[in-house]
Amino acid sequence: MKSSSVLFCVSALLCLVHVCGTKAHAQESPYFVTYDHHLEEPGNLELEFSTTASPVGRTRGDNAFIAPYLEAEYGVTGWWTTELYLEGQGTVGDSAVFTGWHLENRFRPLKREHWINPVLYIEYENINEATRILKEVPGGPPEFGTPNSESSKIRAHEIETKLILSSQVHNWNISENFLAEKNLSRSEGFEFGYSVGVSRPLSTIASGGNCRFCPENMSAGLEVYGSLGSTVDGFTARGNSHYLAPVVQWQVSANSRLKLSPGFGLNDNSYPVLLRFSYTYEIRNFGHKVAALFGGGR
Amino acid sequence: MRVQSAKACETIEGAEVAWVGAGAPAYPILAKQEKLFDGAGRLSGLALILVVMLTPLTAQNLSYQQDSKWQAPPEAVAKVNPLAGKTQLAAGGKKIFLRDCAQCHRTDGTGLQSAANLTLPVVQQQSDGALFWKITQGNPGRKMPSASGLPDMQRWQIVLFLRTLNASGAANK
Repeated sequence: MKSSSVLFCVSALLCLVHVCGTKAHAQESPYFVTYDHHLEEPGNLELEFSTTASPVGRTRGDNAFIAPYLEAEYGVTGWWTTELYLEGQGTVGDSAVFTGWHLENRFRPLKREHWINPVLYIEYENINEATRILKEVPGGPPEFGTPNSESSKIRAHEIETKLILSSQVHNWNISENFLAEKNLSRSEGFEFGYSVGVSRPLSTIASGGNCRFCPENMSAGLEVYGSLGSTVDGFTARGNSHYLAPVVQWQVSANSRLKLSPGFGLNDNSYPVLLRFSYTYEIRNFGHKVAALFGGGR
Repeated sequence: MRVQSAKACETIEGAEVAWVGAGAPAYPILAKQEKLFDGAGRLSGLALILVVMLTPLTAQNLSYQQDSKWQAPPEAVAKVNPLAGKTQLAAGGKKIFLRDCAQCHRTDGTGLQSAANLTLPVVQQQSDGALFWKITQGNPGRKMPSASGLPDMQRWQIVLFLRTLNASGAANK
């Protein structure tokens, strides 16, 4: 390799390390489905690699699956966070398919901290019916057991809105999300869903030393989420999916964290077990540093 | 035009081969380009390093002005730090500060860009309760995020640590 290319590679690597090797905030909630009122900090980019997996199918004809997704979250301003999702799915004994993308935005209308902090959420989804990430489960029960070859051909353009309410009560976070979704591709009416989460750090006092396994680096909580039905199928608790999921989070380093959640279906319309896992890496001041690379003002 | 475009594509393809070290360039024009790449590669590499590595050093906030609209209410100002006197807990506050705050306020608290210089009297003269309120609320207008997701005690630990920052910008040991 020529010396110039070596130098270029080394300099690019150094820049990447410098840009990426920055510190992260450690006040994120451990939830997978529920949103709280803490938006991404302005200029920060958070990359989250997650999977939703069902080790066992709901019925005999329904196989285990794993649905990985990548989430890129960017803090545009103090009151606006935007996110892009790319998702896929692989089913045992079937195939692996790309299931689509989402673009979501969250807006915080009130500047200050209040007893209840509202956040408005709007998302566009360009997905297909093979999607299994189950970041939300609005409407009626999912169609279990349909082969990917069929379900991936059915496109869905959806608009989803959420009202996020979140409170910090001493050291507890309590969040409630109410969602309404409209499939623009098919006449499914409006579908509704909910999620509720509570979480708390394991220690409220920070120790002085540098330690990876200190309790202050861990937080735990519980999520309950599910669907409330739709304007077409009606509103019933029994006919829809509902899950109960403990969540744990470990702040591995200043800019990365791991989350884990085993979820349990609460009725026959839910998967018996959903395992969720995610690794998050945060790049601070990403926007400014990219702008600086191209001569932008700081 | 078409011929030129085709030639341009060809030379780029050739240059890519030369770039990965496949040997001598196929055409004289490629040797010229490669030389250009050599110089440009070195220069752009060094420029990238300098721009990215030095930008934080050139952006220290020397003229911090408080946001007059960002004032803690009287009841918050009057709050007393429950950890006051427990100076050993400031080390934990320092750890959180370095992790969550130093990105904008610098490790010595002197502040970057519009972030507050925490060593100035205008900050240090505020009560513990006022600082706690500001850490908790944040100031989105000035890109100061809220730290309300941190436990109360950890925010009070940060206040303890802020008190160790002296006017010269260094933390008292």
